[in-house]
Amino acid sequence: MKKKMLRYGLAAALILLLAGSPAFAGDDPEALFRKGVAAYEAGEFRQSAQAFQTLADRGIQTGKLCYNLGNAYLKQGSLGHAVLWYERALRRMPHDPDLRFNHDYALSLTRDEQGPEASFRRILFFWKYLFTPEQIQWLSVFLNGALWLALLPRRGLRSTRRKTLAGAIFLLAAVSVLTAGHNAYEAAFVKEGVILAEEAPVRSGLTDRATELFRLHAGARVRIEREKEGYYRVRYSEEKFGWIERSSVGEI
Amino acid sequence: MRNRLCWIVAAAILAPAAAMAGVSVQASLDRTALAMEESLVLQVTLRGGKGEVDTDGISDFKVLSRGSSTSIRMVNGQFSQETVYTYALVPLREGRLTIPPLPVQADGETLRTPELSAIVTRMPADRSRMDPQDLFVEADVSETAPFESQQIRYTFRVWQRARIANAKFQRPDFPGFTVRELEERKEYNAVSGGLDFRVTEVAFLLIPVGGGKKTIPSAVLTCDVVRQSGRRDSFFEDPFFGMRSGRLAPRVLRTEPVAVFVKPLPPYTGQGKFSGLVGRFDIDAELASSEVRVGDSTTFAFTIRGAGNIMDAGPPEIRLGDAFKVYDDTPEEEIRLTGEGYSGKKVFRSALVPVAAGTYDLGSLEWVYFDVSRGGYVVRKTPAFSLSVRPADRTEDIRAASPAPSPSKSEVAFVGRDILPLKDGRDAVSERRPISSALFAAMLALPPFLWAAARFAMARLKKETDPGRMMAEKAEKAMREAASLSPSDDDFWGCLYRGLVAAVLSRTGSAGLSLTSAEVSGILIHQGFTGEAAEAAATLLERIESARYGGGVRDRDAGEALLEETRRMVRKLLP
Repeated sequence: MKKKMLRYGLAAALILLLAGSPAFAGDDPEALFRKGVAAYEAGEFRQSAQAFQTLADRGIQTGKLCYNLGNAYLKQGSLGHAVLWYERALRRMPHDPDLRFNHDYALSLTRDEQGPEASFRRILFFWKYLFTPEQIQWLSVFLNGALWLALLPRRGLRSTRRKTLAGAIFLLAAVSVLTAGHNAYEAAFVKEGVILAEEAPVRSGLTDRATELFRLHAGARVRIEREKEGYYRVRYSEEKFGWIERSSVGEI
Repeated sequence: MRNRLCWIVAAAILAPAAAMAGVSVQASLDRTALAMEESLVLQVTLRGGKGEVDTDGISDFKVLSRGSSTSIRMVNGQFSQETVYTYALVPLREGRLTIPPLPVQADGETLRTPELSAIVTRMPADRSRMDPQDLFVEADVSETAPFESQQIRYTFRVWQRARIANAKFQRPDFPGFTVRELEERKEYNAVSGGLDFRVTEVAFLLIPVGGGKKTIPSAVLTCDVVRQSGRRDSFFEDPFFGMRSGRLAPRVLRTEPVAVFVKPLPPYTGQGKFSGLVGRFDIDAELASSEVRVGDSTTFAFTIRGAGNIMDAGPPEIRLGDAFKVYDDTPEEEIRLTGEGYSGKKVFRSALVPVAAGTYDLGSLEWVYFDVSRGGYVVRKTPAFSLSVRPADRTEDIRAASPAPSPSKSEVAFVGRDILPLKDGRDAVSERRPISSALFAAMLALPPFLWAAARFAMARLKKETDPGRMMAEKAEKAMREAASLSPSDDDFWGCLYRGLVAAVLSRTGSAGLSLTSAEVSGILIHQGFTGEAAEAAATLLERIESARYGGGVRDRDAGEALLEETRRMVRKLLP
């Protein structure tokens, strides 16, 4: 009797173990990805978005997957979600031409006129927008190594040419390390979002009775300043800000 | 002057800190009795800092923020900061209405205003002084029973004989409509009830979405009416001064809600396909040429013009079979938003390229829209077209062989709009983990550590291969050996000699075994020693050599004295 119970117990433990493993939990990521692509190509955009979204919910958020999610949502008619995923993809592969094309197309469908981007900042700190945060990190590591290598020979800095070279490397290394630090700060403390709802009122307070200040539409980009009681305090432009329901906004 | 500047700067820096020393809040109303058409002004005063007032608790009034103002004062050397938040409160019902204690977040703590109340009556208390016919508002729509997707105009008008100030218009929500404010705001004079009025008009274009009854709620205008005094007793009764001395009466004016009964479009049962356009439209079509060769193209232009949702117009369906290839061009739009809604024209052009010779009857094109004036579907037809297609010219081959004239260039325009396809590939699901902050910091800190280790190793290596250093060690070793020997031993004198020579050579950083006294003197002077010191070293070397090779006195005392003298000299010479 005891042996029988032990056998049942072992079998139950094995089932539980297998059920917890990824292979038992559902399709493996590649199969699920292929399923999403096939559904998209068959015109089943809702199923395609669901498959890609499942992968994203599992923590896989590569640039390509974000791009595909943007496509699937756009074809499905969900402009807010499409812009959100394109924005997420842009953070991972900012120079991808297909992504920039589709993102521009999605933005052309939005209803709210977005204020001009801080183009001066983009010109002044062009390198920040030229590389992804990860690339900036690797660049910092490389330049930092090169700097200490240049300082290694005892008589290394006696010639003017070597001094200039070491100075230039120091400057580049300092800029890249500071940029990496700024990127880390932004990732931790500066939140941006995209309006998901077709039309979302921005109010003066945290209830649906509070005065409606203005309305934003799907795809509009906002800066998230605070979160409180299911509401986000968002800023659309310098003078337009207020409280909006959390469910109406997707954090980039 | 400089001191005064320092005081001003210090005051500016310290002011906020001093001002935050003690925070208190007060609230006040400009009055406690008002009518439904009027509004209250609520002022929340925060002394000693800035904060955030939460007005969500006010349920009996509609709250309109009128902004805030901050002032910093210095009284008896103490700075005090005061922020006043102003709100206009519009009553939502009659009776005794309460403004509950409002939480104010300031300096990390929550303060509360006192509870306030006001009595709201139907008629203004001083009705006799304000003629309601001097100021009123109204709203209407151009069509109370429109069809779905039919454009209608909502107009809000302010009729005024009295002077008003601080007017603030709050447009209603338009549930069940898409809304666009018409740009022009009209002002004109009109007569009502035999009285001249100045009328201001604000209009919106509404397009109903879905059928059924839709109610547009009240539009609200809040303003201050400038009261005219019957007689002007004093200079200060002038309206100009009256405005400054509080002779403004706040008013709230509401329009009646407007009901709109939207009729759904009847089902279309005719032939052809309904274009989805609602309004009044006309069409036109044109074929650029009725005779072409195989491979050449001719342009078919289809124009829709009229008023309604013309922006939604799509291209016509051209059914030409396999005899033609059809290439659509980008539609050309000329759509304006006028006071009556959208109107204009949209032109669709297609290039028709025949692939086989013959005569083709293209027939006429049918196009269906919903006419709101007739209340039914209207079918428009283009004239019938025919196209004669001749075989391709045989000289074409000859033309292809000869240099072709350079074609005229034109800007490449998009002819269709769509997104680019999905991205495939295994790397789409293989995510590379980003570098964590800790790992990044460690990777930055590693090179300095490696640098320090390398520098240390290099210093050690150099120490081992430096001739100067080696000679110094050799000198010290020779002196130690000499100390362990007796002066009667020949090696004792050899050690003294080697020690002194090695100490001198350690200054030059070169290796060697022997030096003459002249060389010792020359080296030391060259190395910056005084002539006296160089001479002493040279003399010492001569005495050692004399004892070593000349067979001079080798007694114990003299030997030990020379050892001590040599040791002192070596110490002096070693770098």
